[in-house]
Amino acid sequence: MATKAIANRIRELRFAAGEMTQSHLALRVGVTRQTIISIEKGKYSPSLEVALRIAAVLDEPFDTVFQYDPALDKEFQKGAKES
Amino acid sequence: MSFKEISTWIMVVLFSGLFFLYALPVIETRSFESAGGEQIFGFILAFVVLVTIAHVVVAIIAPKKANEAEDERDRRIELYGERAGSFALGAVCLFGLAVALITEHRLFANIFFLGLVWSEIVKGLWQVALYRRES
Repeated sequence: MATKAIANRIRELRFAAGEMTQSHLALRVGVTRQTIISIEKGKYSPSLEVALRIAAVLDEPFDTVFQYDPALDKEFQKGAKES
Repeated sequence: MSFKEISTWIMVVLFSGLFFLYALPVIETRSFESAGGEQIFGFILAFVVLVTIAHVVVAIIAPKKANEAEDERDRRIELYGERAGSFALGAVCLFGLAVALITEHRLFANIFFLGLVWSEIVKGLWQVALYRRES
């Protein structure tokens, strides 16, 4: 069960894409391997540009790579209560 | 560990070493008069040399890492670090201002005071420019 508002399936999709390594994905996206590791673990949320590039490199639709659950987003819930 | 992170570790270790080596005589003698311009210049020179050597050694050991360009995560981490560093610097400036006022060193009091005001002007102008550029 997801506990964070933004989740991703990068690790799974990397393996599906011919067992692409983190280093190779990092090189194609233009970030460091450490950044890919952090994104995969859900510790770092990339910019929209980097997220779109990851989806493009993995050749998958954006929402297949990244998932967003508003129910787990505190800011979203706060906004919903205030409006 | 990325080259940027290794580089940050090098800076932290060397700056800490420099800080304690420099601060030790001051604490021992309980006087800021124990170290003067020559010592400060010597420490800066030693620091620059050590930082350069450490980075060259890391680049020789891991040349691939050394060629890595910094990315958005590195820049974000650097920005957060800069913010914490600015806060520490501001606190020290305020302390310096208070000491200068108490000891009636008006020149230093004005340098600290105008320095703090000037930094706020630069910060504000930079933010205003960014707000305008992005609107």
